[in-house]
Amino acid sequence: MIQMPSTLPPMSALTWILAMLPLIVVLVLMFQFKVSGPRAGVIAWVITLVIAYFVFKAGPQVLLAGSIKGVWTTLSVLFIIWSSMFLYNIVNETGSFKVIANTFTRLTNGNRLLQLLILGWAFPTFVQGVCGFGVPVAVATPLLIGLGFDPMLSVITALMGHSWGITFGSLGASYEALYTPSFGAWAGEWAGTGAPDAWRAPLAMWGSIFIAFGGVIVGLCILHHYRKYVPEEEKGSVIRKGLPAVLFLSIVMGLVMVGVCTWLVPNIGCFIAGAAGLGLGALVLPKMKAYKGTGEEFKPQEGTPDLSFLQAFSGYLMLFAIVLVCLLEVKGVFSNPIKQALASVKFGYNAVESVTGTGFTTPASFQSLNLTTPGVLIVVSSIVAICLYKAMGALPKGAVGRSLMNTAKQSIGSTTTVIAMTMMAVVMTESGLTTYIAYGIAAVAGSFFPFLAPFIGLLGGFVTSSGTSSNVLFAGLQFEVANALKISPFIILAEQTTASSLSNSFSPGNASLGTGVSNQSGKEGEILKVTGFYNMIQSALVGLLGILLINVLHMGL
Amino acid sequence: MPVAVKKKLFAVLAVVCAVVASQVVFIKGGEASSVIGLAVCAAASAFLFLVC
Amino acid sequence: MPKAVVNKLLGVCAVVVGVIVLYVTLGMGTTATWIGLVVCLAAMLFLASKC
Repeated sequence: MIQMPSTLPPMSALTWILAMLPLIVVLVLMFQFKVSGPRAGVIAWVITLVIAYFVFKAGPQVLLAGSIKGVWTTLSVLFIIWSSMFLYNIVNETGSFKVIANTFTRLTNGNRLLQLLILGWAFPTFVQGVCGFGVPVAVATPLLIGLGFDPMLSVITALMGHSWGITFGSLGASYEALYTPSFGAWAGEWAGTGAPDAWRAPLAMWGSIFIAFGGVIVGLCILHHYRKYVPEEEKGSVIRKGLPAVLFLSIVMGLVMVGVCTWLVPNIGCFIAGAAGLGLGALVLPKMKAYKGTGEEFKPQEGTPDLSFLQAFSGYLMLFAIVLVCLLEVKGVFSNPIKQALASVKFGYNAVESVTGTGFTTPASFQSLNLTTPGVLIVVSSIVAICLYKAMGALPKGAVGRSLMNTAKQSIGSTTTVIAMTMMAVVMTESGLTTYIAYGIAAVAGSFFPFLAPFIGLLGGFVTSSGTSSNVLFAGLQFEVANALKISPFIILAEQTTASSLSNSFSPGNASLGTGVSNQSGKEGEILKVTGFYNMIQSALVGLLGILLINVLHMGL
Repeated sequence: MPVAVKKKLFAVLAVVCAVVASQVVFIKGGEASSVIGLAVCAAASAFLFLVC
Repeated sequence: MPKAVVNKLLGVCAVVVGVIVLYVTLGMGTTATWIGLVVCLAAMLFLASKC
């Protein structure tokens, strides 16, 4: 029996529905009534204030503290959106996307599906390995559009393609967020050694198995979705033709992910898996009989500048290099003095402790940003890129000014959506609504919990647009429930982190980033409709695997 | 810069200013002052709602 | 009602039924749970084929 914390209202169906109401309102407004993201977010924020005040006894101080924290949380995300848009615009001014597009067209024998899978799935996985927070979407989407893919297809593919590896991406931030002191202590007892890091190896193994499974599903979803964009006469054969490529990339990236996470260092699992997928996908797949070209002579796009692939891509190569140099660090293996120096330069504010009328407490904390925030690194990369491209003679006159203007036009839509949504999300979390929803699911699940656990991770990812934040929010709850039900916390936490990773494709924040880089502001609702459908299926399949491993095969303990 | 983009930028700025004011002035004054802070944030959000 | 909408509804109903079957078979032993898993998976494939 799951014990409801005394700091939340007693569990009842009506209260649970009321706690869900802001999320339901956001989805209905955006999907059904095509209301814009910021308007849906503001309405949902007001509804959250009302429900939190009357039902969850959150006083004005709690509501205000949550709203302030929401806007503050948004700042680092907005910094990334604006800086990655700026870098994209600089690279675009040089015509480099045409060079990159031509190179991939040549490498893939002009095969559209291979281009989609490699640039929309393997490449975002590689970028995710190094730099999260939507940067893979911001980089991959314009590349796909540059190759002539439909903007909506490009955004949705990049969103799904980058999501699966998030747990072991961004140098393992989400994976580290699964740790809680009680889980650590339990793992030490389970291992019989009492070691404080006994949780790491089994969680990395199970986590990577589930993530690799998630990767297979993502590949199939991308293929399934691509079917909508091919001519009628090809619809019947797209799945059959694409399946070998999807299976090849799934197996390569999945096996590498599991191998690196289980036997090497989990924090670079996504990076190495993405590199393997990108490299082997580009080199091996075009040589397969099914994907050989028609023998037609390749014609470069009109207006392609005279740059090599490396020169054209140097802006983004700089980004990867700077992020690796500044952020690469693995706990217990090696530490990075540059990262520590940058992390020591902080600014922020003291968030007050907030306590609701029922005692649900969010402790006081110093909310800070430091120089390791990805936005800073992207701005530095942009400046280096400007210097590099100028030295190559590739940057036209007035490019920087035009890039700034375009960045403002393209980013403002995402900015307004993210601010409104995050204010709602943080007030929901600080008032206890989000935790209440999760406890409600756990309370009714019983032995069905392994099927429902991923949906809690999905909830966290949708609300926060971040796999790491979803894990921070719910890792504790997931462990408690698993422990109470005497089932494997490793498998349950693996399900949590897989679903929270995959849910990044179904978050208003990331959808806004996607629409921003593809000039489709206002279409977030359409994107979320598609990714939401696939996310439900992905979470359900992860849940089925959980049922199989826990209820049928009794594994994980 | 197009007028629509300028309006949205102003709205975002308004929300940020409202939140900064709330942190610096209102939230430290307890429950009553927090209500004023919420009202200020709501006003800024209403402006955001109208221009989007 | 357009055929596309009917197909999607059928697919969703199939998944709901599949999940209920899985829930019921969970308490009925290993073999029953396997059957429940297969039924649920089949329902999802059915939904994917209809969408």
